[in-house]
Amino acid sequence: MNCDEWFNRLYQILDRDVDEVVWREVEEHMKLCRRCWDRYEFEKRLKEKVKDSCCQESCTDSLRRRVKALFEKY
Amino acid sequence: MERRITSKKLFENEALKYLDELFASAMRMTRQKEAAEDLISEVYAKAWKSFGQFEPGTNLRAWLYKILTNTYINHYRQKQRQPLMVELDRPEDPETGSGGDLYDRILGASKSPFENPDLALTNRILDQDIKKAIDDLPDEFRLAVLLSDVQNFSYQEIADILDVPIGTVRSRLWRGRRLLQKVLWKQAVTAGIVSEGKGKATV
Repeated sequence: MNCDEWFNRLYQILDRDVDEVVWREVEEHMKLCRRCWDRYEFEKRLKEKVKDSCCQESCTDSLRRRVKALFEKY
Repeated sequence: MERRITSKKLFENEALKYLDELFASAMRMTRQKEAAEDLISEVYAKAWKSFGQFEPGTNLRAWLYKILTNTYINHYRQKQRQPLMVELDRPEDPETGSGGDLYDRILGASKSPFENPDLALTNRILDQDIKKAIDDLPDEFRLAVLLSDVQNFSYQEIADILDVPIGTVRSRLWRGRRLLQKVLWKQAVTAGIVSEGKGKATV
């Protein structure tokens, strides 16, 4: 796997949407290529940040009561 | 009869476990608390009504997300303000599709090509910046990024939830994430964390 092939699958690699055989090639490539490894680390970190920043809001007690009341209705 | 009530009660308990995360997703979809609350009420009303259609043993969480995204797309999207369209201010390289996104630009602003560029900037991007950047994404990209990055659904699950082919999921994630990086870069420039062009990071 070369850098272009790696880059074309960047997000599939990040999301593990590749099979075992391809994943091994990906790992081999990243062991040898610092640039692609850096890029992977960056994307991974950003993905984690997106997750962290969007998981903070909890539903209010009033909404929880509203949803439960709906359940009684149906 | 008793058995049915018990299983319905079980269904209620299971479905309520996802209330917080569904609400957080609804907040990122509608961008407003009241609209998110209305959306979630509608989602659960539909879930309670369709209890009979839910097949035990299948993925309840994915089922609820499908109701959420369908309800949002059908009823809420038109009422929302149009998100800011981010222009591609640097042409992409047709060969690689690279150029102009956050990573390339941080790399350009790094003093040394051997310096790992992610440390300086990703650490300074605040949660509220990311939320704002996600809010600015067009719907089709925002939903794909939320379902993948935040809710950890697989590509196949996202394809089922959004009712699109898996190839569409891949291309929306690709474009959505690159767009997100462009927005984050613009925000970083505005906030003075980095300077435009080939300027140095003002860390």
